[in-house]
Amino acid sequence: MALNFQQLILALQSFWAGEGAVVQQPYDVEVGAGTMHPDTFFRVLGPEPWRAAYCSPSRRPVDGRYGQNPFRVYRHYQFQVVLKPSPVDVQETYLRSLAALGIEPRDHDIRFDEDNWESPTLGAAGVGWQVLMDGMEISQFTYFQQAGGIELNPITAEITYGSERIAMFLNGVANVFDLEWAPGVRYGDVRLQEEIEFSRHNFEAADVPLLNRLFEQYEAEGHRLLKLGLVLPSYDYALRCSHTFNVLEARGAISVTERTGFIQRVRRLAVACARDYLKAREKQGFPLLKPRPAEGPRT
Amino acid sequence: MTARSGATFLLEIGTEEIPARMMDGALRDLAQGLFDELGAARLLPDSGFSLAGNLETFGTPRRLAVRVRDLRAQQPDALEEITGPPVGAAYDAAGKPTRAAEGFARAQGVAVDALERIRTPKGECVGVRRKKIGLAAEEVLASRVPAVVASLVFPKTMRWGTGEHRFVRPIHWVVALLDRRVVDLSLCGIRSGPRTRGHRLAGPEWITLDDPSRYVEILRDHLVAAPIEARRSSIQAQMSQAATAAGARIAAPPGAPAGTEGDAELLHEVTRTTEWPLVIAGEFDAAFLELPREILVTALRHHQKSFALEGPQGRLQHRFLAIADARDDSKGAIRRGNEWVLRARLADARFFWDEDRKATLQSHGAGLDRVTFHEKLGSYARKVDRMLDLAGTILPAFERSAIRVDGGAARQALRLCKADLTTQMVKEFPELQGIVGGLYARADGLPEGAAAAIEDHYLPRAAEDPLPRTPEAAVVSLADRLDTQAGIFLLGIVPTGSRDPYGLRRSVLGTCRILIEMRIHLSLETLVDRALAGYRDPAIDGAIGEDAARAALLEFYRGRLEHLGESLSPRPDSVRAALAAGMDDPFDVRLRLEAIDALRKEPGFLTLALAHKRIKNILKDRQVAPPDAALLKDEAERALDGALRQALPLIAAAQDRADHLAALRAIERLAPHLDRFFTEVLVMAEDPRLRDNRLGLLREIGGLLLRVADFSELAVEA
Repeated sequence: MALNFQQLILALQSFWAGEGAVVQQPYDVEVGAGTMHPDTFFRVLGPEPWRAAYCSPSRRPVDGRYGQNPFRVYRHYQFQVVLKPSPVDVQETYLRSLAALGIEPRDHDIRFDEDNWESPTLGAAGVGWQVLMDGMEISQFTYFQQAGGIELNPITAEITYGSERIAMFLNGVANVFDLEWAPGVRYGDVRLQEEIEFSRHNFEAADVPLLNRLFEQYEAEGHRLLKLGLVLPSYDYALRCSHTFNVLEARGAISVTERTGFIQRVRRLAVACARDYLKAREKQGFPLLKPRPAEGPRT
Repeated sequence: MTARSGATFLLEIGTEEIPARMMDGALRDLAQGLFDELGAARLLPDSGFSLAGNLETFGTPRRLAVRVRDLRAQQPDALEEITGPPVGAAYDAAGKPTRAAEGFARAQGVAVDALERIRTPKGECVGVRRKKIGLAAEEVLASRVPAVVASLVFPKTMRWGTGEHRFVRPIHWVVALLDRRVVDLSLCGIRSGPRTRGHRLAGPEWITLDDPSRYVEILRDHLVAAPIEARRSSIQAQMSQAATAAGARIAAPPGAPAGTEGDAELLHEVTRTTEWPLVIAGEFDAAFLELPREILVTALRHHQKSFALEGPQGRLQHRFLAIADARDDSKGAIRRGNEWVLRARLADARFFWDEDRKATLQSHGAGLDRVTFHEKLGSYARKVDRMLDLAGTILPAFERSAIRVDGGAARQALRLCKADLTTQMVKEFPELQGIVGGLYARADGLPEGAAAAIEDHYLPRAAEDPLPRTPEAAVVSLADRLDTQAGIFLLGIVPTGSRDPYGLRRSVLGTCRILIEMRIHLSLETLVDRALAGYRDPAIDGAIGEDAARAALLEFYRGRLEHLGESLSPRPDSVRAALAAGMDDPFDVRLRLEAIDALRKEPGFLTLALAHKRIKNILKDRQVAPPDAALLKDEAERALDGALRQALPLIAAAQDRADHLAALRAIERLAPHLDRFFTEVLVMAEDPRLRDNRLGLLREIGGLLLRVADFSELAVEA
């Protein structure tokens, strides 16, 4: 019997816990992707080793479809894994994680297809693949090269599973809202109203002048906090700016010429946070550097 | 040395999945780099060795490999000469070694009387001759191969793990074998050995390669078809078998020239994304066949890298062929998976179609003010306005060129040609831009002329692409191209061979091809000026001046026309001569080029070339007024002037209808008068009025020639 949605998340958590990852929880500020979670964005910086895994509800206002599209939703659940430094056998470990979901790789066609990733708002970029199984994209696989405008060393491997897609595929379900979440409870039972209301909000009802004001205030507050040495609180405001911008964009309230400006403003704050985070960790002597032996090949 | 007696070297770099698009370049550079390095290291036999004949490359997503046969196992010994001071400085008058000679000998570790005399271009010197013992090939390879690999250039590279190394993807193993011995070297921190790996999923164990000459066979046993060509033919054979079984053939992709068979681009890609290709035949719900063919085929190939099948009459079937990388599909999981995904994809495509169709193409166009054409150049809505304005220059040119064009349809197409950029379909399948616009225009019941122009207005995308099929499409294509070219050049961006992010080479080449092949007389300068003027209001942030942009863009056109000229004429000097006489009207350049090449086969060519040279020599850069008949004194100059006046209407008429050959022949008939003029008339007369008048007469004749070609550029064979 194929795993239902929550079993899939549990299986991934438990698999990666077994690989030495810190099982984190979703971040409680709106994010567009698991990468924006502080346990990825900040932890990839600097020399400290890090392994974490967590489910990341990701809000993408423009993807909202009022709950009417069988494949697209405004908020989806990424399952995010970061491994730093990237282990030598990271691809094999990933394939074993599929086996833990009941996918026997030998029965399938699994491919690593070039797909590089870039986030202008985070000043981040990576090289990697989308992982295709029998023609369906099931994961993104990225070697982070840069984050917050900083060249990274060591390199973090990031694996992002498309939880809904994999569960739909395993269960042969054609509409995400029909997917079993828990016994007797469908994805639609849990989420449909949210999709409908947030689609209406993002496309029709969001108060544009208010959001514009909020963006300004979040941005100003982020920079103010940074001056006080409060990096993590400042970053929360960068996330709020980013989400506010995403809603404004879905609302059709941002013109072509304004768009670049908004992205640059979020980026400026995020890059400043990254820089100050690294300084703060350095001042503390990079606390995570000591206990664990380094992974990877010795050269 | 017998032909097959040498050593065989195999290098295999085992990596994580290398992007398909980077494979061919990497293998080519690896083979060339190795060939050059082996040559420099004197490991190649003296004869019978070539890059194509002795080096083979192999590439799969997980390996780049090269095998070299018939190498020397040992560098030949070489005689090394080390020269010291000149003989004159090495011995004193008595013939005794000087201190310089002694010092040199000591440094070389020989006795002074062992120094030999060596002739050098700078004179005779003392020196040492020493036999240099050749090194074993293994040693040479170990020291030289890493540099060859390090010099490979990829479009994008990465770091991994602890971050010390950079390559296209992480390296996991390196096989370096000279015959059966391991060549000890390291690439990106990975030490070479005899071990490789088979297929990631179907044969993942480590394999020991004990014989480089059996590389292909050993990998094949572990489900890796290492030669790219082997995979291509395997895919083709499997596909043709599957197609035949379905009574079908492979459908060509949308936008392919008529008569194209199959999908070469997709085949090229899937050949490079598999180690052991397996063709999977699947089906989808026949109800999806209601979707336009272009959209179905694209939905199959774009995300799914699957081939669409069509019946003998060219009707699509509800079948597809996917290319898996697997041994078999005994459980049917791969087929079922692909069918499931495709159902989702096609449902998506139908959803986009239905959603998009809820509004007309025209109302989709209303959203163009929110679609960025270029960060600094503004939205597509503004671009469309500028393109409409450009049509005011383009349409009259079509009329002047006697090309019937429906101005109303062209303007309608201009207004709507970018509207599909806001549709969900084009957001999903960007390669269908234009094609989707055409489909939606037809579905809206717009006139076919406008729909066809929207559909074709991105043509030609590449050098081998077909041209827009209608004059209206050509109008839209020209307006689109000129507007983009003007905008980018205003930003001070001039494309180079290695950097052309906006594809301006192709854009300009396409412009010239449309004008030339569709026989449109049009002034580039006028068009460029109007295109640049379109960006005046509002002013562009960071733009260079209009004059600078104009000069740079026209210069860029000159470069492309020179390039294009190579395909229009076998004689480079004809191309130079035609372009030197002007390039403002590219179609006219072609006509003049044809006239020049035709004339070159006639005896009159020599006469004209020599006459033009004489006129040029005497005129130099003098600026003189046209001749005044009252000042013509000598009989010979009056005769020449009379003949010219008589010929002028004929020449003008011929030039007006761009019949340059007829014009040149008419000028050629002035030759006897011109000869007499040069013999009998003293051009550089003392009276400056007479002199300038005579020069003015010559200048008029030279001017007529210069409207066709600068004959002084043409090589004249005796």
